[in-house]
Amino acid sequence: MIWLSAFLVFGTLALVGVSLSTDAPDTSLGAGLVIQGRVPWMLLAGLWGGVALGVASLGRGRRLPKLGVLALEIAPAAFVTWYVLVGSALPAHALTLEVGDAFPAYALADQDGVLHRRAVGEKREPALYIFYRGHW
Amino acid sequence: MDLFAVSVDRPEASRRLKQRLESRFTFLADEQGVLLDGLGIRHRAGRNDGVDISYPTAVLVDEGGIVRWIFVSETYRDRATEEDIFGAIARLREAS
Repeated sequence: MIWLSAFLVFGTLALVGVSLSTDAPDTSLGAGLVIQGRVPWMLLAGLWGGVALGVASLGRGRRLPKLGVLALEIAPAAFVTWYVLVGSALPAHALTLEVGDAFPAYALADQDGVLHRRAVGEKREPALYIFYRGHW
Repeated sequence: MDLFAVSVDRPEASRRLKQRLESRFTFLADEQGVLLDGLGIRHRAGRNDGVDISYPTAVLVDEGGIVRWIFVSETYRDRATEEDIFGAIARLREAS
């Protein structure tokens, strides 16, 4: 049972690795599923389900090697859990724009250096703005 | 529907990214953070080298320039999902 436990924990971590190392996680064997969601429950379930199996396996046979494997499992499981629940929090933002407000005016260059302007309240096509953290 | 991707990156960097992603988005270079301050989404020293960047944010604007939906990430992992975005677009279409 300890091997099943290790398979579950380290298999889950491996899927996360595959997900993060590819540009399109959803195409990589569905590995992206494991880390989807605001709280990635499938990821946490895989890790702590594996740890629970490891704990259950302590009832029979030699304990020391199993405790070693458990220690190796609990460390990454605890770190991942801390990260997704606490460690990945951004500092509080100061969003001032609300639904119903006018989108602010701007004059910005696009990827080819062409200037794009928008005036407050200007009538034109609906628009989706995705602000991202940049490419580096 | 106009699609804009906004960052503080220079246009050249965005051009490479647009090509690599084969994206239909227009990539706007907000190097001074004019829109980041206009929305209140400037993440001070958010980049490893101390440069200000934006909080990951998605905004849907109607044909009158009014904000109809907005999403700001609370964590590094969090992004508006496809369901969030397409749901907001569908509601805008129904309303108009």
